[in-house]
Amino acid sequence: MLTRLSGARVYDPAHGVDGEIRDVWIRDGRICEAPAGGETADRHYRLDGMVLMAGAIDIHTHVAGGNVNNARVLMPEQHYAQQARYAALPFSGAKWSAFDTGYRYAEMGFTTVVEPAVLPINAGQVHAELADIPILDTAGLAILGNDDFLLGLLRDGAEQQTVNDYVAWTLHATRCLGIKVINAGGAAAFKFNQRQFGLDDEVPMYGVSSRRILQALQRAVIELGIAHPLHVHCNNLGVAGNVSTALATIAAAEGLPMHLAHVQFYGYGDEGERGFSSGAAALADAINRNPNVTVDVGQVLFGQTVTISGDVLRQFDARGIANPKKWALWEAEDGGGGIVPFRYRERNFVNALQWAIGLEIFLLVDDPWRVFFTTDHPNGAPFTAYPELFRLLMDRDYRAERLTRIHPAAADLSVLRHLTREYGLYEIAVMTRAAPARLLGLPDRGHLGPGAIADVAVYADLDDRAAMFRRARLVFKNGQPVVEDGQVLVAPAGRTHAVAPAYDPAIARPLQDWFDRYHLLRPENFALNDDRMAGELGVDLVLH
Amino acid sequence: MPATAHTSPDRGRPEPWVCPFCPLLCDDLSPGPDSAAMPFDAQACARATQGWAAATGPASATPRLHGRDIDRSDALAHTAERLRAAALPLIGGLYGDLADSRAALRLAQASGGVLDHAASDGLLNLVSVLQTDGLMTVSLGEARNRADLWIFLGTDAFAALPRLADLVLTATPRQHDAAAPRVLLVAPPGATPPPGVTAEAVGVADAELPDLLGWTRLLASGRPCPGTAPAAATQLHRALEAARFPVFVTGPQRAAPAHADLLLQALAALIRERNDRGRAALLPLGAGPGVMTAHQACAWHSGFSLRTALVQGIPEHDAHRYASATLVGAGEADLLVWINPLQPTPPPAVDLPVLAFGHPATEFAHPPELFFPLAVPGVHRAGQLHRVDGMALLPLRARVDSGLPSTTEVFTELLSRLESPAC
Repeated sequence: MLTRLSGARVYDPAHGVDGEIRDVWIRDGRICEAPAGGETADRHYRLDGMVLMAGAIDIHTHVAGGNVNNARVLMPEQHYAQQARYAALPFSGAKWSAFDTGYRYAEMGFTTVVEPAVLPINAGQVHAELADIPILDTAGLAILGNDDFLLGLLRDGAEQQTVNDYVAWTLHATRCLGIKVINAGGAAAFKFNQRQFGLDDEVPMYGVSSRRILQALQRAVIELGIAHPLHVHCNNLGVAGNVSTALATIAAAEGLPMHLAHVQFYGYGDEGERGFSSGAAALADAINRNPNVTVDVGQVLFGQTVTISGDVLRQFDARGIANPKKWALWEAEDGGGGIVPFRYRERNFVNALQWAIGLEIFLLVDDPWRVFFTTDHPNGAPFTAYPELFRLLMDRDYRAERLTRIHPAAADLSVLRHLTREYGLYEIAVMTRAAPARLLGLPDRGHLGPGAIADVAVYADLDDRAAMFRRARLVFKNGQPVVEDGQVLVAPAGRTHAVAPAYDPAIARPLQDWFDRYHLLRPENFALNDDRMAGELGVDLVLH
Repeated sequence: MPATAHTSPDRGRPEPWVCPFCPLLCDDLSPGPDSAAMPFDAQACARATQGWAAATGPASATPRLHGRDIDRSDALAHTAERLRAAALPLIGGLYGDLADSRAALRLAQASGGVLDHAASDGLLNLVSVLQTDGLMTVSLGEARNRADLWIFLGTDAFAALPRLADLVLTATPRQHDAAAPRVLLVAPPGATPPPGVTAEAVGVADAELPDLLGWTRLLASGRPCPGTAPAAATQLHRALEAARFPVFVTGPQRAAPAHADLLLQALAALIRERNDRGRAALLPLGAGPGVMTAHQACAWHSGFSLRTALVQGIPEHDAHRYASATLVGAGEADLLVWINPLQPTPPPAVDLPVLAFGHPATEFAHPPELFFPLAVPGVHRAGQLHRVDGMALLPLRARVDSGLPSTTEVFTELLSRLESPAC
């Protein structure tokens, strides 16, 4: 099957293509060169006046796993009043289901998403859920950094090589694409009733600092050759004055690759009458000066949401602001998590400033290759609010108009009204396509070069960028049209991506001993394997 | 049914097998080569040996319609016809694994049915508390390693999970060389813990439990007491004050009765208040076989827990209106599709047509209209099942070839019949 897409303005930053009108060809599931010798297309889409990009990639979105699923159950009021829209497609009327996740992302032209918080003991369920998300390719990041085995290694002064072997074993056991650390040591400290935890605090009983855990994991990821840098959820999330934590964490990276997640939640100063101010300028400055660091923003947008996090310590601290007033907290082998519903309100000073800080970070970080487009779904806002965020970044008049609606003291404290920068389509294509593929180590996507997976999104070029990105005119997944005029046509299964770094199998022996001593299951049942993935879990796995 | 020996060369460890017959999912057992005679290691519980025997003993291999053998294709044609004609089918039972839950959800969607598990009362009471106030919970493995005080509200968790005491409560070593935990048994006077468990009795009749929790909260609050606290409340309060990480355990009987959510709500509040000063958590162990998997799968398919209707593709959840017993008792459901391959539990005696897809050794006091024997997950086929706390999804392994079809195979065929214009 040969498909020709002609007439659209093409944005393909990986190849420096900036809005040129050119043909894109697809042979079966891949992008190909224009055929020689007069071969004609089996299908020809005339896309004059439209905008064409590779399928978008979300590097940090909580879409699967026990914490997400329990949040669904905690918040039944988030699911009602949803109309069935695709009568022919499975579970299309089930808002905030795995299925709905696939349909809604695909409508916006997203074709790959990453679940960034896979607690290893829960990895089986994560993959079962990811496999039930239609259309999208998926991947997970395995959580380490609060686990007894790692903290024990560090306490006992183990060699870095041993840490590396354990990290690699974990990636195999969880079939994940990278490693995430959440408030390194914080969940373990919480188990000893500690309620605050900073970068240089030590985990009781282990005598290991958060910094030490962070650096050991960062080094392991680098030495194992894993493409995606250590994905870091810093200490002190949401605390006034925590920009100092973010700056200290950037310094702790010591020039080596590190990804800081949802940095808006770390962009807080503690100045002013209310003891809460924007730290975005200092944070953006540090990001600009440290090319080893990448960030995603975790933008806040106004409305009801529910926060879902493996940072059990910080979620416990947030329980008092739950809205509605119900929340859940759980602790488990090597981690924990919390679910706290929240309504961000534009007339609330703190919420309004959070909104402004996120936008400030987007607009003050110079390099779109190093700042990524997230709301930390659903923590800052549900991913379905992305079109609003595109418009805020691309349309300064619209932004100025929105700024008049927020709490006036927050608007006055923010530099936002002085920031005239507007993201263009090329920069949007960088931050949602080319850069995420590069950051995740998925060279077969995020661009339109020959050989790339034929994940393609086509948009009408509307002045209202929110309307433009809310409904893609056309989306291809692996060369198959899956969305037309903003409506999902078919829902093929996606694939799941993971890495499998080499390691010394001798790590199995101390691990076996540790499982025998402390676990209720054997490592063979803890770890996923290809039979399980392909069999009963129903996962189409691609190893990188 | 021929069985094969599964022993890996590594240190003589038997090849891993996960026992699917109770939601503790022990994985330290190994069915031996001779399935009929000596199936298990010495530590196997009666539930495991009985479950294994039922799955490997005499069994039906052929579907039966009105008591007569029928071939598979005709059985599925009949099922599709019944489902098309049904106004509100109840897809129930669900003593099964993830494949069963996924199949049941697809079937409920295709037929406009309601999904419920036969033993979901306790789960839905807990969900009610979650949706009203929230919960603070702990996983089984975490409690094993760190809880220094276990408070059992009744002995039913031990009955539901026969090896709970051995594998969790008294298991050693524990992390950080923690000493053996203290155990309180809050139960009617005369209740005894299982052998091997030393527990201090807090004698409380069931009807007095709400008072006990209320008094204990009051004592912990430090507010003035309107009288003398009952001895049991004082005893529980002192134990809590002395503990670093107390864990409350509820079993199936504590959570299941009507309005048990009120008791669980008070317990959740006690735990929350305690966390303002120290730590505490709930360890709910009431989910029966397959309940947690059905609940989790239903949530990621529909957004809701069990007791969800998928009429016209729009999920509607109502823990009361869509309870199996309500639908059957009120006559609202007009067809029961019983999906039950994990254990030979027959459907309840109901006054409506029953199509039973289940364990091959199921014996029926009231034969269903259709019985379709399925492969047993964890014995005849591989599968995935949640541990009782929902934290781990464990792999069930095929050990015996029964020749019976898997749930996925049968329901894929059924769904294609349902979705085609004519069967």
